[in-house]
This record gives sequence, C-alpha cells and structure tokens, in this order.
Amino acid sequence: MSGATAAPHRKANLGVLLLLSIALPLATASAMPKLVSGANWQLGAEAIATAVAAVSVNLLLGYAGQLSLGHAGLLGAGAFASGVITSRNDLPFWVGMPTALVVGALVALVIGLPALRLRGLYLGIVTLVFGIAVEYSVLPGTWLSGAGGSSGFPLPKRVWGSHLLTDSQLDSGIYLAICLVLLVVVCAVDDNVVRTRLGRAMRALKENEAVAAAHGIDVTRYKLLAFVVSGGMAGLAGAMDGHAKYSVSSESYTLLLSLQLVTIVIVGGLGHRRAVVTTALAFTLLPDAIGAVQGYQYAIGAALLLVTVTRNPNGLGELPTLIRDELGRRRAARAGEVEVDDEPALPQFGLPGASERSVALRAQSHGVLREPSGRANLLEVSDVTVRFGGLTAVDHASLVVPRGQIVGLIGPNGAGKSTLFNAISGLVRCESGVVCFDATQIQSLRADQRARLGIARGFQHVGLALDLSLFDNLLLAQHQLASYGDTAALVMAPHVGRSEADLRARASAAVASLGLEDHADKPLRNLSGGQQRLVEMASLLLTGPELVMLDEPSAGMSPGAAERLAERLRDLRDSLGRTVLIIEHNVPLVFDCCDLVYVLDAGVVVASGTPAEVARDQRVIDAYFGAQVDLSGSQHARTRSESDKSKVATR
Amino acid sequence: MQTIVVGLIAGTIYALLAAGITLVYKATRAVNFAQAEIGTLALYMTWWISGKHGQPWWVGALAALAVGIAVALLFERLVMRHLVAASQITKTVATIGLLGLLTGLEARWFAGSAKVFPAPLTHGGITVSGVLISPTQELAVVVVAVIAFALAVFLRGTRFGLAILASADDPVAAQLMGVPRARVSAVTWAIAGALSVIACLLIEPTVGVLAPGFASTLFINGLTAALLGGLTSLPGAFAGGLLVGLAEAEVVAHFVQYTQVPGPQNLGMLAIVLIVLLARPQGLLGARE
Repeated sequence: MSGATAAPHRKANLGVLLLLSIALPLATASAMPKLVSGANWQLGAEAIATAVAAVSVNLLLGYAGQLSLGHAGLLGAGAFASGVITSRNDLPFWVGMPTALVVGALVALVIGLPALRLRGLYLGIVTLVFGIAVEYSVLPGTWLSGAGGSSGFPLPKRVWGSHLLTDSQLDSGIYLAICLVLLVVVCAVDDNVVRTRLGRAMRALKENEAVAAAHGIDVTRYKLLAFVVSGGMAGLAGAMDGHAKYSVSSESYTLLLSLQLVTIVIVGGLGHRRAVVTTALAFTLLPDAIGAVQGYQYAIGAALLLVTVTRNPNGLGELPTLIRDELGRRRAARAGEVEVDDEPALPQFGLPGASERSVALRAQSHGVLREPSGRANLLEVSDVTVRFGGLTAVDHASLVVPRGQIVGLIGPNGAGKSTLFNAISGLVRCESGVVCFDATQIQSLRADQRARLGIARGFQHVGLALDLSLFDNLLLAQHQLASYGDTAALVMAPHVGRSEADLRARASAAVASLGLEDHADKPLRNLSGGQQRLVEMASLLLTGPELVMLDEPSAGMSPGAAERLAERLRDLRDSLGRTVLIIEHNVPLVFDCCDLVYVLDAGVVVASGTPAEVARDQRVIDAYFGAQVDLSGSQHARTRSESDKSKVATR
Repeated sequence: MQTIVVGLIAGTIYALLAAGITLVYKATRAVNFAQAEIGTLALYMTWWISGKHGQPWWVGALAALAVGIAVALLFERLVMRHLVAASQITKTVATIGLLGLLTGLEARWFAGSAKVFPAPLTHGGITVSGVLISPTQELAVVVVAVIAFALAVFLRGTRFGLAILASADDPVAAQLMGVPRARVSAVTWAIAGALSVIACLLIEPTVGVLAPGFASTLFINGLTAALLGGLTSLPGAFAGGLLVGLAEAEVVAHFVQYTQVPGPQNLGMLAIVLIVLLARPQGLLGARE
C-alpha cells in the first residue's frame, strides 16, 4: 500500500493497531476452550487451511506485488484435484494433497502468463474473471463434479485401504495436528523464500522491474516462480480445507473467498507473515466463538479492510516497528539527543577480487559467461539507433570505451544519454546497430543477462529498491553471486545457508566501509539522496563488474561529497582496475577525471576526444550554451539549450 | 435473430453497469468492484418494501435509489476522500472492501430463501421476431437510451459536467482552474450509485432470483463491457455492454448443451477480457494512455 497516506496518521495508527492486535489474539484465545471441547476441531482445521491460503496470497501480493483476485480458483483446483484422485480411486488423502499442490502450481503458472504483460489492476481483473470462470464454468462441470453439479461430491479422509479418519474426537484431533504440521512447513518454505535471493528478487521486481533486471534478476522467471510457489500453497490449502469438510463443491470457491483472502493479507499487513497467519485464524475462528458477531464475519472483515486502507495502510504487522520507533523517539527525547543525519564522506569500497567473481558466476549455469578476451576496447557501440514511436532518441550513435579508462558522456537534457545507457544495459531495444561487450555482441541479450556478463549500471533516480532496507539492498545487489538454485533455496539446502552467510558477510563489510552501520536496517527511502547514491555505488561494485556505468552520480550529493567523487572514480580505475562509463552534468568533474569524453546532442554524437579537445569544440559550446546561429533552426532546440545553460550555471 | 434480440436486451443492463464503472474509473483511476453490489443492496430494499410489504413498485424503487446514492456518497466521503493520493491498487482494494461489506450485510440480513425480483411493470410486452419482450425489458431499453443521452448532455453540455471530465483528465490542473474536487468526486459517485441501482431495478424478474452474491457474474459482464470501452470511454462502455450481451447470448445458444461446461458464457468473458487487455488495452473507442 502507498505510504503517502501513512505519515499524518502515525499516532492514530498506533492506537488502532494496539487495540486490534490485543483484541484479535485475545478473542482467538477465547475461542480456544470451545475448540478444545471438541465441538469444533473441524473448524480448527478449516482455519489452518485458510491461514495456508493467506500465506500463499501474501507471497504473491506482499512480496512480488502481483494482485490475485481469483485465488479461490486455485484453492478449488487443489480441492478438486485431491477429490478426484482420492474419492474416485480410493486413494489416501496424503496422496491427494501433494497432487493438489502440483495441480495448484500448474494452474497458477498458466494464470501467471498474462502477468508477464499485465500489471497491477489489469492483472487483478484477469485473475478475478479467471476465478469466476473456474467457480461457475469449470468446477461444476460433470467431468469434475459428476452428477452432483455445483453441490459437489464427498471427500473422505482415507488413511489406508478402508481405514478412514472419521469425525470422532480422536480422528479430528489427528487431522488438526496434521494440518498444523502442514502450516508450519508452508511457513518454513515461505521463510526460505524471504531469506534467500528468491524473496529479494520478488521484492525488487515488485518495486521496479528495470532496477531488478539491472541487478541481474530474470524478471520473467521470478514472477512466474512467485505464481508457481503461491499456487502450490493454494492448491494444498484447498485440499486441506476439502478433506476437513468431508466434501468438495464449486460453491465453496467463490469470489467472496478470493476477496476475503486479499482482505486478510491487507489487514494483517502485506509481507508480514505472522500477522497474516494470526489474522486468518482470527477471521475464521472468532465468528464461531463469539455469538454476537455470527453471520457478520464478512461485513466485519470488510470494515477492517476499509479502516486499514484509509488509516493504517501497512496493516497489523507494522505494529512492532511502530512501537519500537515510538519508544526510541521517547528515549531519545528524554536523553535530549538530537538525531544527526550527516552524510559520510565518500569512502573506500571493499571489493571482491575479479577471480572471486568468475568462480561464483561459473558455479551457475547461465551460459553467458566467458573468459575475458583481453581486447583493448571493453565496450564498442556501433551505429545504434533507438526510436520511441516517431521520436528518434538515439540516432546512429557510436562510442568506444577502452578497458581501464573513465569515459564521460555529456550533453544537454533530452540528448538521449540515458536512453543510450538503456540500450547498452538492455532496458530498451536497439532498432539497429551493434553493442559489443568484451568482444561479444550483446544487443540481443536481456538486461539481466548483460548484468551477469559484468555490466553494472546505476540509474538517474537511484537504481535500488527503496522500500527494502539498506542491508537487503546490498544482498539484492549480489543476486548473481548467490551460488544456489531456486529449488535448493525453497528447501533451504545446507549450501544455501553457507552462500547466504557469505553474501551477508560481504554486505556487512560494505555497510561498514560506507560508515552507515546505524542505517543498515532502515528502508532506503528514509536515507538522504546522497546516502542513497553511496549505497547505489557500493551495490554496483559488490558484484565486481568489469564495466561500471553511472548515470549522474553527483546528483543529490553534497558539494563536498561530489568533490571527492572524482578521486573515488580514479580509485576505481587505478586501484581496482575497473572501466567506468559516466553520464554527468557536473562538467568540471567530467573534465577533471575522464580520459575520454563523448558529447551527445539530439541523439547524435557531436564530438568526442580528450577533455581538452572537447572543451575547445565549437559544437559542444553550441550544444551547451546555445549557438549564435542556431544550426538546427528550430525554436525548440534553442529553448532547450537555454534551459540547460541555466542548469549548468547553477551547478 | 432471436439470440440477437435476447443479447441486446440483456446488454442494456451491462451497459448501465459499464457506464458506472467507467465514470468512477475516469474520476479516480480505480475500478469500482462494488458497482453491481450497491444496486443489489438497493434491490433488496425494493423487495422489502414492494414485495414483502406490498407497497407500489415505484415507492420501493425510489427508496432503493435513495439507498444506493446514500451508500455511494458515504463511501466517497468516508473512504475515497482519504485516498486521493493513494495508488490505483489501494483505491481499488477500498472498493473491494465496500463490496465485502455490502455482500456481508446482505448475507446477514436477507439470508435464507432466495427472493423473487420485484417487477416494475406487469402489463404490456411485445413480440419482436418471435421473442417475447417483457414490459420490464421494454422499460430497460427506453431507460438506457434516455440515460445515455442525459449523461452525454450533462457531461458535455453543462459546466459541472465539463468540470467532471476535466478533473478526470488532469485532477491537479482542474483544481488549479477552480474545479471543486470534493464536489466533483461526490457527484461522480452519486451518479455511479444511481446507475447501479437503475441497472439492478431493470433486471427482468424471470431471469433468476435475488440471492447474496448473485451480482458477481453481473459485475463481471459489466466490467468486461467497460474494458471494451477501455475503461475511459462512455460511448465505448454503452457499446461494450450491448456487445457483451450479444456475445453472452451467442455463447449460451451454441454451447448450452455441453454439460461438461456449465455457464460457458463465463469462459467467453474470460476470453474477451484476455484479448482486450493483451491486444487492445485502450478498448474499442478509448484513447491510449
């Protein structure tokens, strides 16, 4: 949820949250005696199934940011898969449940395909209509529901042969215990997602797909993975629920159920697993325990949703953070401390050696890594053209970045500098031309593949996930160094833990070298622009890239830090042996540290050479300060140059 | 020919719902998931007054209209106005909250046996190419034509209507030009609420019974119609409504004998939604954003 509405209500939030977070567990606890008395052990199992379903929605919406309004369809798919397998073939439920998981994952993969093209609301609409189609047209069909139609068919809990779990006290208790174990397992898998590169990749693509790709994350793969894992959990939840109820029918998997799951996740708090599970249990158990609210559960859930989106967008799960912040503020106020938010000097970066990078990368089978060619020019851009509709943003541009040099790219606003950057790093498609990195043509590779080749790029507006903490961003940046597969991460194989420990150690070292230890756990959004720039540079260097591309690195830095920037760029070249390509409006900085400068105007390279040569070039002076006689002849070009002149002057 | 008449008449209802969805989308950039449910609650109101307590239909209908507009205004005032700066998804989730609230209350208050739709007219009816058109359906066709005309006149021809269109186009610029944003938002929601109630009141009584959640397929069809209009074009929404009605009638006519797939029209809607969103997200008449 948008944080924009959060700030003014912060105080009120705390009150509302405290009230809710005390009321919900208390009420849940009050429901316990009734549960324990045995009357409602079946409801307990259903509540746990709802919790599993909520964890599944939370993974998709809370981590990966993909809105699913048809999750009931996935639950239904799981329940019917288990039902058809166990009921028609007399197979035990522990065969049906894994089947449900697989079917749920497969169906989710199919729903995930439109998500590759559609975002946000449109994805929500597609999943919504999918859910309706499943509810009314697929599940009640005779091939699934048999003659019973929408009233479905019975679903026994067969253990083995003719032995069934009945609704006796003991058997219900056993099934409840099985469901609890499954909930714990699902939460553990969810935790594995959060703690490894899977979760970081999902959170990154939720916030900014371009940034994720620039960090070497295959956006398509992780989006689909989020759908598959979520769908597996939802399928399992459907089977758990169906076996708990002894029957399965299409009437159970309604739009209302889909919306209730989204409600639970938002009220609990997007991405807060524990709060989401608690909310799910409370939503299912409370109406039964408290007679007065019986029948009103949907209305109350919806009212809570409305309160959450208007007053408390981050949900119940934010409570611990809010309390901690409030206590911290009070303690600070008592001690009379003033929070100092100073910007550290631009530090030295600890860097992994080049060999470490290739070892880590070769461990993965991405198939794009090769030995360095040793060619003198690391990057060669020849005749590249990029068009957006009728606008030619980059027009037959060519440039060469020699290995081990700092190359500057300057030009007025709108000259196409960032577009050329995007063409090199793979975020826009070149209409024509060749991009050659280390003697390999890369213009047909995806952005994440280019990143894994050793091209690291920053963004004009800070290429980081601003909602993640500083530390998580540094882990995210090392995505391509994580030497484990996605399946291994889901089950937290031993080598996953070791690899993660390595990544954390390197991230800690980077935080220390930045001098930002106090801010490591804060969302990056709360740091100053200059601090964000520092973190971005550190994150770029963490993967030990061959080529570092920086888009206006001095923007947002204090004048002092910007002065030290030139020195640090030379360090990159001289001590670390990196090659640097930089867009910068701070012309003195460019002339101070670059070995080679290209000037771009209206998509065309108008000049190139050493800083001294470029500074004398009349075309450069014209492009920056406006010509006496405007060569392009258009009023537009003149005003643009003039506005840029004032920009240069203010820097 | 019969299918075409049946489809077009069903389409009138979808057109009204689509118009409401489009209007709200233009004003807030959110899809109002409760667009059909506001009318459903009001329909229960009509049933309660006219069906259960034997009052004339128009008394119940007027009460329903009042209830629908009041619900929409309350929601605008208590929820949407706090979310002016929120994201599209957040606003849409808020309307999901309204949908849940209304459905939940209906389920609690009117549970039990399904209710028969109250009929606006009981006399009249004509036959067009072998299809008997009921008095309610006649009324629906007339009302939709009148509303389409009235909306066009109001939005294009009056100062306030232009203010609504302007703030749909660029809220900040409109506000700077002196358009009262709060009032524009309130009026938009009131119109949307009224459209929802009118749509539900005009449903032919014989098509089904009133039960909580019956509006979800109705909403899907209205939403599909609005998508055909690109969510931003009112003429597109009306045309989309009729098209969806036609498509539904055709699919039902051709596939109803396959019992493996009950309600094949829902799969048809899914196909239309996927095709529109993937191939032509601006709809038939809408402009690309």
